[in-house]
Amino acid sequence: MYLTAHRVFSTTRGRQAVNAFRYEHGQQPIAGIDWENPNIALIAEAHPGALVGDNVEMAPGGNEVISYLDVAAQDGTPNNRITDALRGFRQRIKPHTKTMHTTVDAIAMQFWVSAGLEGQELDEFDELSSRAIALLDRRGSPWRALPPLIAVVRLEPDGFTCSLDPESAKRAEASLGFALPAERVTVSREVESGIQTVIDDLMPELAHILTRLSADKMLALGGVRFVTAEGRTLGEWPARGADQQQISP
Amino acid sequence: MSMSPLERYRVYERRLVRVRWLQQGFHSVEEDDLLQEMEEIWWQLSDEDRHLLDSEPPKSLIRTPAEVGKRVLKDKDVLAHPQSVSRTEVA
Repeated sequence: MYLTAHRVFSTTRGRQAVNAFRYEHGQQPIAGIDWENPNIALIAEAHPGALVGDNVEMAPGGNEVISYLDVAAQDGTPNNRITDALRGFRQRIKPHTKTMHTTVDAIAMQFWVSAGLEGQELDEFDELSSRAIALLDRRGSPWRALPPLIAVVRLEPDGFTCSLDPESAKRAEASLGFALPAERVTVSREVESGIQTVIDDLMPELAHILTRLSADKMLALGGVRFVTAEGRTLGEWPARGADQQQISP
Repeated sequence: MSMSPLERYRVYERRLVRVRWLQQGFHSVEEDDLLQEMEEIWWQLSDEDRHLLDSEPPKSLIRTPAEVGKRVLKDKDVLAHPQSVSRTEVA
């Protein structure tokens, strides 16, 4: 299990937020990882596991991470052992220290703060650890409980088009506070790659053009799913893990 | 128990450090509000207190020149790629 809380700053939005993620590793052994003494750097940088829960305040991707708290332990480690370990770790954090790591009771932890917060590291630790601990009690994500917006992809003689279905358009408009123009994106046959490649590569841009929503607002509505007119899923953000079927242009 | 002007100034100074760090140097209304409060308190300080504060190094610099460009971490879109690492170091 890998639990991480990041404080991120977006230069494009001009604001910060805290995002927390929980991963699990399953029963298969992973080369280089001894769960009696987890190498937290290796887990964070190479083997995070599979995402099973998140609490996202600002859509991730390209934001600057200005602090983080990581915890790594074997899947199934009791929550009280993790919270006890974090409490012990907190006591060892010294003001004006930017990086700290320790392993207690087979629970590895690391904490880092970027420059500029000298003397207030403990406050930051407290905030990040509360976000991380909140994820110990549950799997899943708030956006998973919501149906995604649906963008319908239709094959046309000269290419394909994408448009929001009427219900999704209503939901997007309610979030935006204004009526969306009847937006339809057309990708011509001249595009060499197939529909799947275009969706994979341009999904965020297509979703934004169709909904006019920021990634944060899109997430608050459950994300977006691109489907064919027959209802087959071509792609979605966030990924919900459903099987995605491929079609040819 | 009421605080002295110097103690109040310290409280606001500490908040200012945090707000500037959170905003990474970007302007914010919260920073403006804090600076206004600090200015009002400043004129309530004794000459000795002002001299003391003036003699201290600045506390709210985001990064010293030596730190700029040293280590920048960017988060990854793990919602699109649920088995991806959550952050990566970039030059």
